[in-house]
Amino acid sequence: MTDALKVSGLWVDYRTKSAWASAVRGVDLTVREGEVVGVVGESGSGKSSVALAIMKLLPANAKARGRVEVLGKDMVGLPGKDAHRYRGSGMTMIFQEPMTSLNPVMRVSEQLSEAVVSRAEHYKLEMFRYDSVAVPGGPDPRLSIPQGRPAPPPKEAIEALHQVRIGDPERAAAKYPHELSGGERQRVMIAMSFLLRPRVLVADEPTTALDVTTQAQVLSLLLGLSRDEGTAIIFVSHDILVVGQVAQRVAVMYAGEIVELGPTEAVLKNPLHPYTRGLIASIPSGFKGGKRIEQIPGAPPDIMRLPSGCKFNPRCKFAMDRCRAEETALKELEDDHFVACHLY
Amino acid sequence: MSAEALSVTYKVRSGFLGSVHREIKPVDGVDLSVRAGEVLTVIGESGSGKSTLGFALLRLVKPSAGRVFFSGRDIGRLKSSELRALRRHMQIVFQDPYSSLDPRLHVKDIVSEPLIGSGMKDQGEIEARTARAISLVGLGPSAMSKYVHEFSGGQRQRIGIARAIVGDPKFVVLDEPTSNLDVSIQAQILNLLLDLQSGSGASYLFISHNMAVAQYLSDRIAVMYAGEIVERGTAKEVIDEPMHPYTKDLLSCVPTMDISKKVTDVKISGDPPSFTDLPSGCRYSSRCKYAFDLCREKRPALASAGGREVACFLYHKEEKDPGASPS
Ligand SMILES: Nc1ncnc2c1ncn2[C@@H]1O[C@H](COP(=O)(O)OP(=O)(O)OP(=O)(O)O)[C@@H](O)[C@H]1O
Ligand SMILES: Nc1ncnc2c1ncn2[C@@H]1O[C@H](COP(=O)(O)OP(=O)(O)OP(=O)(O)O)[C@@H](O)[C@H]1O
Ligand SMILES: [Mg+2]
Ligand SMILES: [Mg+2]
Repeated sequence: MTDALKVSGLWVDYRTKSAWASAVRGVDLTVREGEVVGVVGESGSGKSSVALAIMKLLPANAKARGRVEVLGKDMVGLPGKDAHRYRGSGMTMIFQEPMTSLNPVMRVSEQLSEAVVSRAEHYKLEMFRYDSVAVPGGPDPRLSIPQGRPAPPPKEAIEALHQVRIGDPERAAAKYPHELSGGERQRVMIAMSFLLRPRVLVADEPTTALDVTTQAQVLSLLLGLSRDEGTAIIFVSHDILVVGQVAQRVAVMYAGEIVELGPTEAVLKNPLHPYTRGLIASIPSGFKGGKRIEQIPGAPPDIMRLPSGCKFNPRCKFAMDRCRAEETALKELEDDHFVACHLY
Repeated sequence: MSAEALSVTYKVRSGFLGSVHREIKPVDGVDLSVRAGEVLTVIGESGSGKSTLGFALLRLVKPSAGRVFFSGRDIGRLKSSELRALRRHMQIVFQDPYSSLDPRLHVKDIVSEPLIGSGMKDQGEIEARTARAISLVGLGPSAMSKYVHEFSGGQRQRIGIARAIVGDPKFVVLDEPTSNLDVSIQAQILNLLLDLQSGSGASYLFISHNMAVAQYLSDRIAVMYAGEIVERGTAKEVIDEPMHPYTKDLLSCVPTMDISKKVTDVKISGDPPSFTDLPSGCRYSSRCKYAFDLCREKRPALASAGGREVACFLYHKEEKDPGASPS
């Protein structure tokens, strides 16, 4: 399988009042066609910054360095005005806060229709060859959306809303984003990414706002997208157990770096980095009065004041002198299982 | 703390430009008791009425029917001054540590509010209790004269907990106190809550949608669906051997450390319930794979079965025949 997404030596810096601070420091990551790679880590570890850098959607006070190749094209070096051509059916993103990516003054149906049109343009040739709905010789019905308002949503759009379990798709399609609940908005975003059928999908906490039953459904839809369409998916989450359900490989981030990377099962069952072990040990398990959950002491560092050496050393019970002096780098300890820790 | 046939009704607008006024009942005839020193968790999906139930128990919303007893007194019959004096003994920690704490106040003024609100006048005692609560939740004395925005999410939640425990409450509603926090911070808060509870002997009504957290913290669990309790038992009974089809479905959707158990294989039809469009009969009947005719006709009552209580006709066979027999 080919690499659909290749991130190498990625840094993301933010300008704040007083100075620049690095939120992402030298991240390397590849996602193959049809693969789901999870990115986990606590709040502020830089997950969304990586996601936004891949999409070339970082805010104005941010600067990215390094390489991000999407389908062989470098995004970091690409002029901003050219990036939008790759977004859509090339690559698309499901945002942590769906309101930022849905157009507030457009009805859901119009936004979904746009996605259908955008995909149709992207896959024009394939459409004529494969699409049974298209009238031979005539214009594709889905490309000629009437101008009247509200636009009748294409059947496919309604079907996509149905797939993500929006109870009454026709009614939801006629609404504006602010008229939907948070979970419904998130599902509209997901429906849109199904319509786009992108080569690369960056999903930033796509199920965090959803109930577990809806989450299960959405996870299986995302899996289907990677399996059936070959979409390469980066799945960002703070919940390692949710990631465990869909990802073949997991990257664990701490203070802007990947500290562990490996096959999902290996990382969950045999975590190597003390931080990953701490994360897993702090998941509640068992009944009241049983084993107490372990807690990692302290809190993640402020990116303006990172410690020297390994960034986890102030919270690590195994920290040695070397950890306070020397930075760490990822090393392959087992097959495809990497860790950045001086213990190894 | 106990409640009898407790219901809460909200008026909502729906339809074009909110032209239709309807009533919804997010808490519908709930009987419940939280025993002294016990943690009872209410679990259920978003919108099932968990927070509304918690608010009604504390009379932060007015029930439309039913009664609530606290230490043997019907709190619906108390004068507002009596209720205010009782407040510090029944407290709440809100879900959102960002919006529930006043940003203009010093931490010590936020934490001491339940004492002052209940009429305590002795400045020395107020200060001593406030300092003690702040230290119990693991914040240093320097926290006292800071503002909320100077703290992280986990620390803010500790401030909310300090405010709840400052008056030595007998009963605390914890409304998803860790759902916005990272697991490592969640672990610190859960352990703190367990320590505080075993130290004080207070009773907690814990509200959550996180099964693992519920399991870790609770003596008993009540499962709520569309305003009703559908199953209630010890944490072990409900989690290890769920009986209600909804509880079973819910549990099968929870990701665990065992990644060979795929939640993506679970098939639950239909949507979470909407109060404006409830199925007749059992409210889960529209999604339940075991539903039969009676389930769509009659509402099952919460009744004992298998050592716990379940509201499901699968377990109350005797009701099946008279209701379902075709004439
Ligand atoms: N626009 C910005 N300006 C300045 N700093 C920022 C900006 N966006 C993010 N940061 C900082 O960069 C760091 C990484 O943030 P990021 O949003 O990437 O983390 P995250 O892992 O996605 O966290 P969460 O789980 O809370 O979404 C944080 O310290 C954050 O405060
Ligand atoms: N003040 C209100 N006015 C009208 N409807 C309300 C009000 N508060 C809540 N509701 C509705 O009542 C129902 C139950 O809400 P509640 O907040 O109790 O649910 P919940 O189980 O706590 O959900 P969550 O897990 O999302 O917090 C929902 O349909 C909600 O939209
Ligand atoms: Mg983020
Ligand atoms: Mg709630």
